Amino acid sequence: MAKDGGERWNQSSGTAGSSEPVPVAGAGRRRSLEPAVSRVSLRDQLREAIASIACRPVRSLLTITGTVLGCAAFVAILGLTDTARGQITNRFNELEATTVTVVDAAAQNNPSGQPYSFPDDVGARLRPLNGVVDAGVYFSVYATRPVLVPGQPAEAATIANRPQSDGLDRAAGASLTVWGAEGGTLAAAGAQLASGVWFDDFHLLTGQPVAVLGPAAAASLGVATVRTNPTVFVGDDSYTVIGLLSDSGALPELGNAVLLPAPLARQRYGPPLNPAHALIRTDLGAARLIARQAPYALDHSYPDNLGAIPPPDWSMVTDDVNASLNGLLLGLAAIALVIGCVAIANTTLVAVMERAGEIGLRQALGAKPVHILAQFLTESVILGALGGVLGAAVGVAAVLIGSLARQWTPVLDPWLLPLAPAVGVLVGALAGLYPAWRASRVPPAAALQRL
Amino acid sequence: MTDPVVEWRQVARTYPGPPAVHALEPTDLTIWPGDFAAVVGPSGSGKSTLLNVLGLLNQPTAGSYRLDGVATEQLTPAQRAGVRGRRIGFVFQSFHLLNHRTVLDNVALAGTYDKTPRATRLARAAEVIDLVGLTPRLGALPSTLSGGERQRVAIARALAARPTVLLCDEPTGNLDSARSQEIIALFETMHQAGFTIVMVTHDETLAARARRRLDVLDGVVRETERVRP
Repeated sequence: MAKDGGERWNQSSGTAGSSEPVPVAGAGRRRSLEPAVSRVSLRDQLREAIASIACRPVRSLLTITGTVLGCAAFVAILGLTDTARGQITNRFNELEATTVTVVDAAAQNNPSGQPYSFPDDVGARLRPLNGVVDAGVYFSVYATRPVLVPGQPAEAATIANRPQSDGLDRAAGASLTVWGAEGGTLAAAGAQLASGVWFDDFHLLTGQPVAVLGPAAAASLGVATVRTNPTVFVGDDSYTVIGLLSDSGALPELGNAVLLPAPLARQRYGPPLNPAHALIRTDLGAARLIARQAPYALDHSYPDNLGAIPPPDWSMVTDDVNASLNGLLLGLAAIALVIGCVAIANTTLVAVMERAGEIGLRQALGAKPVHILAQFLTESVILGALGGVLGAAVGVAAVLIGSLARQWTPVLDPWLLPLAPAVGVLVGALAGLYPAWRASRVPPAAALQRL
Repeated sequence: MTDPVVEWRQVARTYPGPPAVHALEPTDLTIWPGDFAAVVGPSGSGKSTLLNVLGLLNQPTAGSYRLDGVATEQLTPAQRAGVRGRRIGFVFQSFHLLNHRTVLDNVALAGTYDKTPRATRLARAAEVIDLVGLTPRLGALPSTLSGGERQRVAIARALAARPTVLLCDEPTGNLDSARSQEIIALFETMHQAGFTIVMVTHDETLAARARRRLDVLDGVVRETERVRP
């Protein structure tokens, strides 16, 4: 090849055959003697960086793993938090929009007098209001601790008159309380019956001696069914248990309660122990209006005796919770990103040492230190951006999978999608800065000797 | 009369230490266009320092060095890099090829830092690859080439920037004798074509084919009579 290439070489230089000192190959285009400053186009810089990354695909992939995980965690945490927040807010909103509590304000202001400001037919007065689904009063009364007596009421009455040493488990009812309630209270609270029935108008209007037990009360007294017509005694008064609650809904205080028809409870045990409350379940969005109307519907002469508690404003609470939660989770994501940053920095630093020969070669070919710095920094930034893009994809997938698993509606801030690669770029730039600087400081002669 | 390519006046290089090492004693040296000079000497004699100073990879600690008429001691680091890229071609013993890039890409790397358009660089690269006889291996990766072929790629890369002077550091050091003969023949062809070549070598066969011989011992450079006209 080379031996017969002389003619071509000569054509290339145009200087063959001279007996004088031979002009150099570049003499044909004799350049200015002024030294030229080395420079490289942005496109070439990018091409070189991309080529360097592409020629080591496995290493590049491993290098960006940390950033992928960090960005994925970043997107997934924010996405899942938003999704969960949506679910929580929905629940809060539902409660906010459908629950009104009316309290006996007169009793609150005058505890010694213990008046009772509610009418006997709270549910009947409130239900006609447009937007009310169910309503009922509830209050606790001062009464002797309840005692369970198995068997028929007649038999129970006989047993109840026995002395304390009759062997009955009176201690079982020690923690129980006695409450008066109405027919609508159960439905308004969203309570559920395990068995039996709830009070109806017949029980309320005719003062039937019947009782419903809260789940804890039923367990405490050992009542599992109403089919045997169990009877409880409150002092000397016997009550046939007609229902057992499985869930006391929005009124957890009724869990260990023996519930009696409200008029009968008041008639037998006097005014409520604490100010009575009425619970109103409304249609969505009607709660605030009902809160204004309810005191007038219950006692139009003295509406101020009854205070309607407006629905709680959950938005501030949820905002506070979300802010705290976000802060914590974003902190975790930041830690993941720092790990990614360290991974890129570490790998790039190792690459700088491994590629010393290449650094020397590029310097021999005219690269300035800043070109070497730019080369490694560009590679690092591209790796960071790739990590960010992959991380965003993985994060979105995690949000979708997590939401599907819980049958939630996925909520994702669209800004997260460009933000994740941007974070990746930042991570790449931060991680690459020191190794790139180190690379730019390698003396060319020393770098060329390292290979 | 043509101006010299390299003009040294009392150029010296001392590594500060301690202890200070005088790797290159004050030296006067002139390389003319078209020269083919072999730098010969034992290991540690200062050959590589001489070549590094010639190639602006190291700065002399004393003396004046004009390359292609440019006083190099006054150049900024960026200007030195620019001069390296535009006027000096390097050929290394260990080739220094980018193993994951094709032959064409390796050769086209020359001129990257000169802002030469990529199309121009690729055209020049194809041209010089043809000159060294590797056109059939244009798209091959260096790992698939023989040692001699790799060195020819490195030579093509050095030529692609159209340098004023070629500096070669043991270009046959990693080759067997047959491949060495090929490379020696290539250098002779280049010399006949007018290239200025300065070559560090242990290979007496190669040194004997050079037009000038510079013996280096303990940093002192002595020029032997021109061995061939």
